[in-house]
Amino acid sequence: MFLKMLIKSFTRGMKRKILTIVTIAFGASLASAMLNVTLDVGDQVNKELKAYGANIHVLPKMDTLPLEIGGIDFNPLSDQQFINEADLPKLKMIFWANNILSFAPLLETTATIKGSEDIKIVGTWFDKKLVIPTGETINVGNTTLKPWWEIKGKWATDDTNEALVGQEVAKQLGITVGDKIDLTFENDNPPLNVQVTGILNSGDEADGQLFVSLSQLQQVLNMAGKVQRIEVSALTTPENDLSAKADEDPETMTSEDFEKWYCTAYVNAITYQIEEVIPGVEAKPIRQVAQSEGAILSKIELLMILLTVAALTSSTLGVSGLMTTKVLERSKEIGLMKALGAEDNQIIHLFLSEALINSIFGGLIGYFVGLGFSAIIAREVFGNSLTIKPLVFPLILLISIGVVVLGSLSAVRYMTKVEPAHVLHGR
Amino acid sequence: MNKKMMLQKMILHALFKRKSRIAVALFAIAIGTAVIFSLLSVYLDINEKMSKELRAYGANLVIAPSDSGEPFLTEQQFNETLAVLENNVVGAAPYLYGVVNISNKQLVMVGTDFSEIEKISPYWKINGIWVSDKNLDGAIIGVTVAEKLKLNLGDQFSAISDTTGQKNTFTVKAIVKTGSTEDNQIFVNLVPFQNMLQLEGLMNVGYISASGEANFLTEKAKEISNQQPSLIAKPIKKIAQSEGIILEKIKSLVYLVVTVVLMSTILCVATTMMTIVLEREKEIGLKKALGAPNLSIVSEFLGEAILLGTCGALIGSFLGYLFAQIIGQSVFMEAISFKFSVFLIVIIASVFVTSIAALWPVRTVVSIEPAVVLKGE
Repeated sequence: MFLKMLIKSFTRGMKRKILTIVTIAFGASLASAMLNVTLDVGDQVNKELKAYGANIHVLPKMDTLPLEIGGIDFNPLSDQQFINEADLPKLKMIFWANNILSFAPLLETTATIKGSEDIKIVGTWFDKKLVIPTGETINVGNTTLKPWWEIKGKWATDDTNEALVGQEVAKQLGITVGDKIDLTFENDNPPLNVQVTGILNSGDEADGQLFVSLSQLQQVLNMAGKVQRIEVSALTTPENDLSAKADEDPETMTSEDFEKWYCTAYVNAITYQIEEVIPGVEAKPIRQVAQSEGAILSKIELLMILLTVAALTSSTLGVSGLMTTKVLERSKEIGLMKALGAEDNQIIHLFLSEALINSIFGGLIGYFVGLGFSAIIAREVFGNSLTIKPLVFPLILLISIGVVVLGSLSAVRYMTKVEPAHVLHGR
Repeated sequence: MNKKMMLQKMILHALFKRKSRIAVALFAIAIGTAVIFSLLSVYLDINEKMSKELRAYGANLVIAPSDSGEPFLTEQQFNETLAVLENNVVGAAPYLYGVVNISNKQLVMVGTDFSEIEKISPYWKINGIWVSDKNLDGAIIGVTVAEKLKLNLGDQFSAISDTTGQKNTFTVKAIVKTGSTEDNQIFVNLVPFQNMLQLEGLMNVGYISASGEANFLTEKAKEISNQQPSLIAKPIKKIAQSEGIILEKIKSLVYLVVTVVLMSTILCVATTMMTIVLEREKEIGLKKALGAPNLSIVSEFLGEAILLGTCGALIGSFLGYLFAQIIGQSVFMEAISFKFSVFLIVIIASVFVTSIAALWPVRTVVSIEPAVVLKGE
């Protein structure tokens, strides 16, 4: 009998039922789209913020203080310490290896061109294919590390005599793309002949520098396998109290705190791990980038959470309001059932079963529509696909069942208290 | 009783006699409007708000002397460039560099304005207190300097200029950690350092943090360079351009989210309205049987919908404004401005949506035979 009534109520008012399910589905789709986006927004925005470039510097542990003004170091090269180029792939072997997006080694010196003043020459990687110890091949270098670099012409190639010239140097010396120039170094180093493939506009001190392939520069300076520093770009988690505590001294932390800190992608946890795998270096977070990234990231996450709360509230109230109306419009039916001797419990049971079926259908449809919505958002805004969080699916089903059942329950209970005669009479 | 009064009476009757249903509809409309109101307010303010937040990245414009001539600019020239940027300047700090000798170690000392540094470099992590402008012997030293020279907070040290040979004594007021060149430098107030180097009124570069998009900065930079040929103003591309990208992303993110919320809120409100009208099929049938023309039935429902839509939107706007403030305060620590256009949009949208939602079912209902409806099926 119960089943028959349940089926009847679905087959009879099919049109209205569809309206209900569509509304639930829309509410659920909104909720699922928002949850999907919010849960992923941190990672997505974090990647976007990588446009600000490297957030970690790796330097050899030094005895002297660098005398650097406006990007030019006044210390002679002979005083400096170096990092072994062979150690670089180790960056991809730390605990948070996957969060290391790109890096580039730097070897700097000065040279003169056609008797000009000293110009800073930087040996680096442009777009290097690197085989890491796990056997994978990855692309690292300035192409990925410095997305704001504008090149007139084309990027130089690694391990060739191609070079990029900063726009200020190019203007000063009248260098254009395709020119062949000789770099004359101090001491007795042989000159290096390079071919300019691009003029660089970077808007910072790199405009006054000349970039050549690392291996070429190492060769003429007789410093094979040596680099001065490494710039690293890593995905990090915003700082909090725990990472601040680790900033003082990781050794003083309790082992539990240490474990938690070590296994979270805080920027200082990553630098700590870099110092572990590469001996004799100091890895420093560049606070201008690392700190600001964290600040912006937490703002956006908070904003998205609040928007999600707003969206959830609106769809929840919308759906539960609809359910209340749906029950109220069947007051006569409830009155009749009561007049025929139905128990309150039976009526509630019947209505709730109906609501449950509605909500499951609505929730299911809504989840998939919501996936579509969030995919659109991800593609339009971040230009890539969304990672589907498995957590969202059960959450949406639970929310939609909860909202629909609760929305109906209050109305049904209210209706069961009414006198049948009263309702059936009409007013 | 004339027709107009009858219509009024019927609308009011319909609203008051069915309190619970109306309450539910009003509630749905109000909440929907509130959400849309708050999201639109936030969306329209987001550019300005996020642009301020992004200033956390520090200076985005640098003023330097052009290649020819002395490597200095005067304080007066610097102030003139600031006038060009008007009230877009968040902070502007002068930098005067010099190499000094401290206990036989050479290092870079910078003369600057600390209150401006605080504004343009919020990422400086200092241990100690900021040096006031009046404090002529206060210094903030980089963390590596502190380590190498074994200096602690409160310690005194004397520095000898490489160029003039003049000797000054400073006190360590704070130690700064930034992870970049600042770690290797010592910062003191501009005036005592100018005296020490005998470069009164001069500086090497000026760093400016200005709000505004990348294009705006590029334009202003050109304007400054044209106005004062002895200077070059350069947007720090890494900061200025990245900021533009991030801002664009955030705007389109919020835009899409607002669209999705808008759509589903409208649907929720619309279905609730439809349900309310549909359950009054019999009433419509009865009215038709009593000889009411279609037009009067339609105008009755329309009147009801407009009344509901307006009331709901008024309540919703009020709630929405409050909610926008909650978002503004918790995310940006600032109020979200009230915009009359948003208010107008939500009122119109709300009335429009409720009317359409009410008329849709009425349209089908008026076309059917009263006898069929009244009979039950």
